[in-house]
Amino acid sequence: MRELLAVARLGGRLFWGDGRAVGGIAVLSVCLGAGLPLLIAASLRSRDVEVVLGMHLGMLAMVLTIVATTQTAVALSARREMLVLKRLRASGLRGRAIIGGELVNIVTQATLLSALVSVILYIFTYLPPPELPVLFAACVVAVAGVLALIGVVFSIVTRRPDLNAPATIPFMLASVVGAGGYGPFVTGLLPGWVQWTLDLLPTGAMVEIAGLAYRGGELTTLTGPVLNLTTWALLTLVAIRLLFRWDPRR
Amino acid sequence: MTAIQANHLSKSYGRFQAVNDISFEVEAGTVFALLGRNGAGKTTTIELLTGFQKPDTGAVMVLGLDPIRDRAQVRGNVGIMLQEAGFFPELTVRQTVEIWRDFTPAARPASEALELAGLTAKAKTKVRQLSGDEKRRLDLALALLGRTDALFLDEPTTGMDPEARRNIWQVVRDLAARGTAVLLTTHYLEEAQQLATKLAIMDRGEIVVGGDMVETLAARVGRVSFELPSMIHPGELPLPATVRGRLAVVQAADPDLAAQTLLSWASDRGLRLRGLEVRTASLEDLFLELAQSYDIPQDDVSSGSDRGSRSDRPAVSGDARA
Repeated sequence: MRELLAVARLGGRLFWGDGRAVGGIAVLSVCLGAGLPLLIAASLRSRDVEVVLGMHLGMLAMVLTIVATTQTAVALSARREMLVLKRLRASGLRGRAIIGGELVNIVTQATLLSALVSVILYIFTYLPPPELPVLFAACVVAVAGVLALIGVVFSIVTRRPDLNAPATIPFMLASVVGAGGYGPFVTGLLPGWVQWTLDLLPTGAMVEIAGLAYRGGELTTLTGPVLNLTTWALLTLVAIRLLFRWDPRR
Repeated sequence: MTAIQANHLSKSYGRFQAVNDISFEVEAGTVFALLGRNGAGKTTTIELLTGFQKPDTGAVMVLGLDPIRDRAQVRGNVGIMLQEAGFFPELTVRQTVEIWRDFTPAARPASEALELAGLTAKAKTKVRQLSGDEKRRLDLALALLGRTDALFLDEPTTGMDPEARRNIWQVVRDLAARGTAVLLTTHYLEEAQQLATKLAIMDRGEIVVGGDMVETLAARVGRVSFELPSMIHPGELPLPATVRGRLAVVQAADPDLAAQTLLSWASDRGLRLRGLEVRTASLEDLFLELAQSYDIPQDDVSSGSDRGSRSDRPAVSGDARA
């Protein structure tokens, strides 16, 4: 655990100490995550909490995918290519501490940014805070974790590090569309089977769990989304166990 | 006490046999030099010994432990200076060392590690601003952070100027004197001869010469070279010699005696042997001798001049997994 936290601290220090990274990821995420729901809320003639909530969750899917999936994929593949992963391993750190520490760092960033985006909306729109805030927080952490694991898999399967960010874009777009980030009009145009497929993504589970957290209700209805996240987590962990490489392919 | 033990190690990448049935031991408090041309299998051997790669066959013991099975225990007690490994370019030298201290049990103070590696003056410099030589020294500082019982140095002084190289040699000598087992690969044969008490020369994954440095060199012949006087035919020399152009080379078990014989012969004839050079057997001679026997390209050996770093690993991906 000490090793894992040391790696997480290192990742956080590198991220928050890098103005370009903070500008490119954190500021962009907050602008996207809060900006569109703010515009929608301001443009609606009548107060429609459900529409703003739908936009909020859809854009939260985008924030989480950018921060967790894309950033993990880019950071790990860049460090692999620069032989930093190899050096970290030579230091005596266990592999799980190196990957786990980076995931803890990324999940922390994603959670903080999600919280900031949400608080902005609570302050500047009529979106109320969730009925079940702990469930909402747990949902964000869990989904960020699963999305970061998917980012690790992207860092393995995309062989060229310069293509890691673009390679995650289709996944991000699918996640955002499925989660309703392009608004109810676009979601309404999707054929049923497409929406059903997109709901299988971790962000689909997030919409269900976070929706329940905002509206309140029976936790027993969350079996499906929890199973969804668990399946994604297990599949990605197996892929990482079998395929993760510390050295670049040459 | 044996600190590092390789027992019939083999490793292949597809059809390429990188390491083929090699065995050797490194005692605590000694420096062992692993030599060979690029692609001979040195780096693969280090990666097998440090647990970065799993051998196909054979066994490795480092400080009595298996570096793969007991990775955490082994890594906690060894220092590894890889031939190639990266840094975080935006951190300063001191920040890098401080961060690595978090990963290293019972780490030295950062200032001590920086001083050992001769980097105190560069403590506040960002890693991306360091020269290749300084990055190698930072590499060494990180390898020396733990109070290690075994140290693996893969081409530690490549790219360093002669003064820096000699400073590093002194650090290695001091560590060995305190009981650390040091396994060193290098292209600088002078470096190996200065530091190591035992050696192994690898070619095509196999150890072709191995043993005690002094004994190995003593078993080789020395040589006397000079410019053949213009009116002398090689057949007239008192000792058998090979002549290339005007350079005559006499190989002899006792090169001092051979030189005396030649000088006496020249004096009797009123000749002067220009450019006379007497050399006892050196590692370079041994390497060049092997180069002829095993068809090793002779530009793969350096007796001291700078050369670029080239991995001796084949161009394939490693098989290390999480």
